[in-house]
Parts: sequence; structure tokens; C-alpha cells
Amino acid sequence: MAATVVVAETNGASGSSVETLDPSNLNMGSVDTAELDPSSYPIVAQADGHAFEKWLRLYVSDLGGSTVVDNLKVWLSNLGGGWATGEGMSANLVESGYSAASYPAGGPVDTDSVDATEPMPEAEPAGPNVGIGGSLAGTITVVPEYSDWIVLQLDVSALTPAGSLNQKTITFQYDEQ
Amino acid sequence: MENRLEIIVAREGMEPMVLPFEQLHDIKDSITSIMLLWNTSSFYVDRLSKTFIVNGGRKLRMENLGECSILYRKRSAVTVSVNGGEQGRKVSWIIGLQDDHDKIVALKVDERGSTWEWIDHL
Repeated sequence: MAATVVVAETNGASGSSVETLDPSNLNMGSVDTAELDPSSYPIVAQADGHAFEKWLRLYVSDLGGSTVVDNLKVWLSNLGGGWATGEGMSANLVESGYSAASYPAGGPVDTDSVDATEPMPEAEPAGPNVGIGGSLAGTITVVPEYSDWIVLQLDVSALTPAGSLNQKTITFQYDEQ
Repeated sequence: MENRLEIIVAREGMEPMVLPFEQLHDIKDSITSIMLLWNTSSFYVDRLSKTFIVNGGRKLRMENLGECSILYRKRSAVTVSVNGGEQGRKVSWIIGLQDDHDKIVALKVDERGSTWEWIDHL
């Protein structure tokens, strides 16, 4: 057996937020919704343009006989055809100086994120970059349990061309023992 | 023939035995050697002699390691697409040595034992 771990996305204001477990995609656009159709919710190409943030966590529902889940790492593992002009992704993922993010009362925003302020890693980090219980050295030993928040935001500029952006892949990695 | 993984563990004063992954945690401090074994590949680590053997090849002794403990992990990677509709999941296995200065020498092996690489950190 193996631990049961899925990505969990949360949308909406904190008093009425909706959680989607194991979303089929992390498409980002001009609405705060899981599994959105990017062609229906395009991002406006403008100076300091952004998609709605994605507020995510790893959710461990069952340890499956393992004792510990830890060493959480998240990174952009496939850029597809690469970044379009002015396109980028920001995140709150760091390997040092870590401080856990708190879900915003008003829900995810499409203005410049105050939580996703670092460049999204494009290679596997050397150490954990997602915390558990407020610490990168945290562990999950009792379930159900969540990781700390992972905050991502797709950024564009006035130069970003119209049309579909290249498909990219994000990897969420964890260890069991 | 099914290419299923077996984990074989030896402890001081005991015969080697096949154990499920979930039982390793409780005995990890007493493990002297560990082997990941598939039909066509094998990966072996001995804590006391600080040696590795990959697919029955030459015994590789690691110098410059202090007092070691066995290191093992099951690693999972979930991939989700952005501007797409795909999702995937991969498993790999890590076995090796971690010394008393936290220096790591380990093997990371894919789920079927087909590919492997050396790693020096988790």
C-alpha cells in the first residue's frame, strides 16, 4: 500500500470557500475556479497582468501503512514549448526563510499576489520548499492532514501575445517512510 | 512473469527476510543491509561495510563516510498540467547510507527497477 496524497485546490472567500480534491488540471485564468477552461476565461495581456492565484495544498487522507510523509517539493517540471513573451509564474515556494501563508479572507486575487512573490522553481529543489505545520522540516504522521499552502500565480505583460499559452507541468513530490 | 519488487532486509544476528515497505520504519535502526530486488535488477546496500552492489556488479565501497545508518524512502511525484488536462503519478525508491554528519550516498531507482541514479541529498 502507499499513502494517499492528492493536490487540493481551494477557491472563494474563506467563509464560503470550495475545495476541489485531485483536480485534473491547474489551468489558470480570469476566474477563481478549479479546472477552468482557459479559452473561456482568458487573462488580459496588460502591464502587470495576472491570472487568479491558485491556493493549493497537498492532502494526505491515508498513510497506507507508512509512518511519515515529508520532504515536500513543488516545481515546474515541463515548460512545454516555453514561456511566451512577458509570461511567467510566481510562487511562495522557498527553501530557506520560510513562513507559511494564510488563506486570504476574500479568497484568491487577480492583482499582484502578496504571497506568490518568488519565481516559480523550474528544477527540482535541493530540499523541501513546501512546509508542514509551518516548517519545511515538518512531517505528517497522523491523518487526515494538509501541507501548508502553496500559492501560484501566472503573470503576463502587455507584450504577451493573444492565444493559448503553452501547456506546462507542475510536479508535487513527497517521501514516505 | 510479473516484475514485482521485493524488499529484503538483514538485521544483526538474524537471517535476511522479505519485508513489506510499511514494516521498515519500526526496525530501521537495526537494519544492517537492504536490497531492492526485481526479476531483472537488484540494488544492495550494506551499512556495516558501507558498500553498494548494483545489478550484481562490482562491490562499491564508500570512503569518507562516518558512522552510517540505512537510508530508505518511497518517493512519489504527482504531475498536473497548466493549460492542459493531464495528470500523472510516478513512484521511485531510495536506498542508501546517511552518516553521522548527515552526508548521504544513495541510489534512486524507478518503480520498475529499470533506471537508477546516484543522489547525495533527499
